[in-house]
Amino acid sequence: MMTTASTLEARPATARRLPPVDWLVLVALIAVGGVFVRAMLYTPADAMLGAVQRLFYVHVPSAILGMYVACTVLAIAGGLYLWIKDDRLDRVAESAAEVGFVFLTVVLVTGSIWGKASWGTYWAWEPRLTSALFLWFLLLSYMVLRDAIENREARARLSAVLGVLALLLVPFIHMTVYLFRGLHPEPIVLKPEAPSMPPEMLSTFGLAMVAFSLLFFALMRLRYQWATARDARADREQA
Amino acid sequence: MRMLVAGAVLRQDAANTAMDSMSGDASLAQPSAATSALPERTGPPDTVSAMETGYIVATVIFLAYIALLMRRVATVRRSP
Repeated sequence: MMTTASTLEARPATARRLPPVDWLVLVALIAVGGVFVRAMLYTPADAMLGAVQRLFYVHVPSAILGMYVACTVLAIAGGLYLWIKDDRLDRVAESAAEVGFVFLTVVLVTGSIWGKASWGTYWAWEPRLTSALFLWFLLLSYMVLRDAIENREARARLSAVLGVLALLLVPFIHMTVYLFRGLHPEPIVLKPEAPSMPPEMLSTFGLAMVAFSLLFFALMRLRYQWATARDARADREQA
Repeated sequence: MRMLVAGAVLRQDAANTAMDSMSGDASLAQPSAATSALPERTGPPDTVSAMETGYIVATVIFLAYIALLMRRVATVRRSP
């Protein structure tokens, strides 16, 4: 096992030639643009909140991908790296953290705008918002930590530990709306019962999930390709 | 509650206007300024600008990140 690990560790990164335009990112952008048009123009507004409720189709898919998916990928890739020491897993983990950070930023910003319209304030120190902000800072500290460590092996090992720990915060964030009294409503989609939405809103949400998932994996793929090319260049410079 | 009060004021004012019209006094038939200051609000609040701001900000964040990735890729591609 040790022989395998050291072989994998020593293997230089091989970068394929990066295309000038990433077709998957383009397709994802077109899909997300289509969902935006459908959500803003062809999906009914909420009877109580008005048009601002349509931020749901950006806010919730970004939260599911940025929090649940990105942190799960980050933790699994980090945990596997600690076990088999494959540099590719470290690159998957750093890509998941960075893309997850972008999606989580969208969650916090759209949530604040929605909050201003429905609660009368951009921010409240209530459990769901505060714990989501903690996760945002945790992902930020993950990236800062990676930038601060020069040695590639030590950087991958220490950031993998932080990545695994980040996942522990996710179930707590999910449960905050049940455990504490706060402003944030309980889940409409991610709950044991069926989603409590009219069919026309649910179909737009389904399309938004598909489009945002495409964007998430397109950005992950591009970020991973860049990291591979970066490591390959570093290996060439060292040789 | 405020909507109900506003509605009651409007209905009372409309009744007064109708009675004044019947009395034939044109000057009294004009609706008072208080009526226009208390419009009856129906339906959800107007939050279109908040929705548009949210969509614009989300678009800017995603496009800025894609631009950053493209710049990184271009830098790596230029390297020997």
